Amino acid sequence: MTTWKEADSVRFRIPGESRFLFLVRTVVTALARAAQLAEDEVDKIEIAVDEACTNVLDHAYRKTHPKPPIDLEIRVSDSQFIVDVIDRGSPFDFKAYVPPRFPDHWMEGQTRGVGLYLIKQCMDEISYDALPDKANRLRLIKNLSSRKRPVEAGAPLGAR
Amino acid sequence: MAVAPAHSEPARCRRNVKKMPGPSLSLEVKQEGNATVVFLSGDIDASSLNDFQSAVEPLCNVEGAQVVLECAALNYVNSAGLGLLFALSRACKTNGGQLLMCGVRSKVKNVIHVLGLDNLLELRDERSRPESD
Repeated sequence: MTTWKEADSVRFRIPGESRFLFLVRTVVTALARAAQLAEDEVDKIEIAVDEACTNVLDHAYRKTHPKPPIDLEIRVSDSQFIVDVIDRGSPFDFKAYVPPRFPDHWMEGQTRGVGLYLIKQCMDEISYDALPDKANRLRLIKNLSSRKRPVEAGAPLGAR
Repeated sequence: MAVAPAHSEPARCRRNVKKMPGPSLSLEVKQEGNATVVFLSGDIDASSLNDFQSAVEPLCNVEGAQVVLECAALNYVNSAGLGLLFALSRACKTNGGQLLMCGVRSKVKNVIHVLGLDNLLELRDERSRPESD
């Protein structure tokens, strides 16, 4: 049986197509549960990672055809659950980001543009870095203070 | 896919949007009294959003449209999906109708709250039955 231990990391690559987002959500939620995070925190991580990958497809890869793959790396330390979302598209001016104002955003007729805001609300820390190989990395961090209980070594994936 | 127009004779229409093994978005449209009820199951994400829009938007662009989304089996909605739901709700109101979301799971409700949509969307715990049933 696959197990999840501290200092383990899981890396996987999906094609740059939205039909693989379900697979990303499935893997991330399984690992977050295995890290003994509370269920509402698992939900937040699922949302944040899905929104991050959707932003890559919609924005970083908007002018790129075919769209490159997206790499994900998930690991858990003694205090944090960390997800890296790595793309090879157009960089994003992370520091210039202005969060939407509600309800004005919706009343103005916009239906999108709130993904990063949602990610920030769901995670404890996020950072964005340009990597040397022209890749971009969005790092999403959830502090493990919201664990249901301490991680048991070798806890089965998906254990609740 | 043809969907049942609002105020038509009782009709059913099922659509499955299969994108990957595992849960996908499924829509079933039924006419109940003067309401068009859309049973949603699965996930609304970037892969299924356009199919959802093309199925539900025409229902909202009918004068006096009474659209009910049965969401008890809806597991996931991304931010663009919730933005679209508000736009559809506004379309219904513009046409003198209403869009209700029933049985929304707490997981989706939490996102609705974070995005400031809880006072803009019409949420109900349960779907009321039409008197004609």
